[in-house]
Amino acid sequence: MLPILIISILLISAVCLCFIKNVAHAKIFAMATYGAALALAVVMAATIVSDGYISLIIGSAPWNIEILAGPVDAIIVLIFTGISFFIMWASLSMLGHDLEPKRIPYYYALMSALIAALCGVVMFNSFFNIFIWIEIGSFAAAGIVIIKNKPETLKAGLKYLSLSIMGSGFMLMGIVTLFFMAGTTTFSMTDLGVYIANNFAGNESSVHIALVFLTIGLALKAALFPLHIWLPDAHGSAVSPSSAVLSALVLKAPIIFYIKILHRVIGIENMLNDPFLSTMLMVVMIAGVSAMMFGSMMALLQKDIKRMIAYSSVAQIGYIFMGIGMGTTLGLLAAIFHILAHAVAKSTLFLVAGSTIEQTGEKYISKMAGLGKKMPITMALFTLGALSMIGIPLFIGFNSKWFFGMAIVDSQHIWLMIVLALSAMLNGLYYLPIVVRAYLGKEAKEAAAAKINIERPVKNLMPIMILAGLIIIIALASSPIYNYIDYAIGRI
Amino acid sequence: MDFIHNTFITNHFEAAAMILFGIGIVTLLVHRNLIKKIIGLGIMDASIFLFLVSQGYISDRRATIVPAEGPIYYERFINPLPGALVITGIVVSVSLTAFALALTLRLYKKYGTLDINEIYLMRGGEE
Repeated sequence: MLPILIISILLISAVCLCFIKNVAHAKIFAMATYGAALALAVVMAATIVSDGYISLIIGSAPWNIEILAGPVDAIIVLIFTGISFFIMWASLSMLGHDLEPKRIPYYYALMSALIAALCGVVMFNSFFNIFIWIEIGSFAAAGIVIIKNKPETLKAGLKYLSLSIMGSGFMLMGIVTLFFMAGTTTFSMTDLGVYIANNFAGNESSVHIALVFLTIGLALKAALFPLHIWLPDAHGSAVSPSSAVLSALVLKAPIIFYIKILHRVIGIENMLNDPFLSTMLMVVMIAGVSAMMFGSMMALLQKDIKRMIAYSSVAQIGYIFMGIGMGTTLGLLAAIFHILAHAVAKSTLFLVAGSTIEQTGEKYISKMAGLGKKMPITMALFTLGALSMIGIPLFIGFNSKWFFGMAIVDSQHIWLMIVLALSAMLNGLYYLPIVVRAYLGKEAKEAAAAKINIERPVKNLMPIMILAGLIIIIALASSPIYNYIDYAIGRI
Repeated sequence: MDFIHNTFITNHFEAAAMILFGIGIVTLLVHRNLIKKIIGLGIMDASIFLFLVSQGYISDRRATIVPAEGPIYYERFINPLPGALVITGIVVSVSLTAFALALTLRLYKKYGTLDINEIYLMRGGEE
């Protein structure tokens, strides 16, 4: 019952929030909902750790709805509800800056629907339900971009909406092709997986066509390199908590769905043995590698801090797809660990960027010089996030880069090691100058002499501090998490 | 000749669906007018629905409207599942069109044009 409870609590609150006019009440109601969802996700994770699976079938075939939450889903749902709880907590004091008060309840309503949709994508096992959840997710995600109601967000929102709906079109075509190939009466991924495992020979061409459609569709949704064009606009122009949620969580749901298609439906042996499908995996890996390079280079050229962090997301998504594209267990493990690492670090960075923009009114990187003296705590948090992104030991980014390194050594593509090192260096090239110029240099001295302090109150910074603390805590506790993910991907 | 026969005569529904899908995507990507882009999205969705419904159709059978009383002859009906899916898909598609049109209306009010290139060349209103 737990998966349904999580989703229905969020959806019911989405409906209720539309009718709450008082902003303070709406905030309390929304936070209570996200807290409840997080608590339920913890209970669900505990149940899955002890029982292995939560499986639920509602209705009878062919009209059944199937929920299958395994260990990987438990981890991901925990990330989704947990990170979104902290981001929303931080948003309580940040939204008033960008949104008209009457829009704030709607903002939280959209956010509830979005988190419900993300959890739905991860926990449901029927293709068609997942398609519906992904559609709800795209609408809500476009909603939290355009709610700012500025010309540039409308522009970015329309681009995001149209490209993500195009992605859904491709995805639906792929799902339909797979479904009619099998001729099963349910849309269950597990049933389809069993069918393909037994009847792969003879059905290769259908699987090929379906996988091409699904890959294009999901790469569009997850902003894999050549199809990332909507991401910098949408993530760079939205309200900062929206950017944090979009970058840290929304991109990850399609990736989990893609991993499930590869491992649960088609089966990794088929993927590696079939020449076409193994080329496909290779293409995904190359696209990921290009994203790592291209995203970092574009980030170097940006003048706007939020656009820079958005391009850095393009690069980080590249890491994840590189891990998936290797087709090995270690690669997948590193990819799933990186989903966690990126979610924590990127949400910290976006919220810090939002805080500095809110306090100084400047969104350009050049204006952040000397901020280390004016906003000491905020910039310390930024430094934590940046060091994690570069991959300095003691921070979570280092662990995930280490796991990627192990996966590369394990695979036949040793040249990826060079790409990994280059990408870490490029990350350093665009994150470190900001940190250095915030603390050292002429502007910092002037700021220290003038004793300007425009720091936000500590109680408003609390959630960002917790997220930044998670960067270190998870890094220190990485080996049990690694072992659990290792156990989990055997049961994907 | 056999290839053309197999592709376009035997599987004419599938062929039509794929051609429409292509037309939809090209319309979406090539046209600069926002309204035409939305029309392209609509064509794309319609092609997927055509594909879905055609897969569930079995010749010489009729729609699955089961009588309230009396025996049910399953062999007289087509596959009902694709029909159910298409109805859901149409709901999604309609809400998408409404959402995109509302956004387009907002954009038109802010920028005074529907041409996407002109909108991208213009800086945002306040800047």
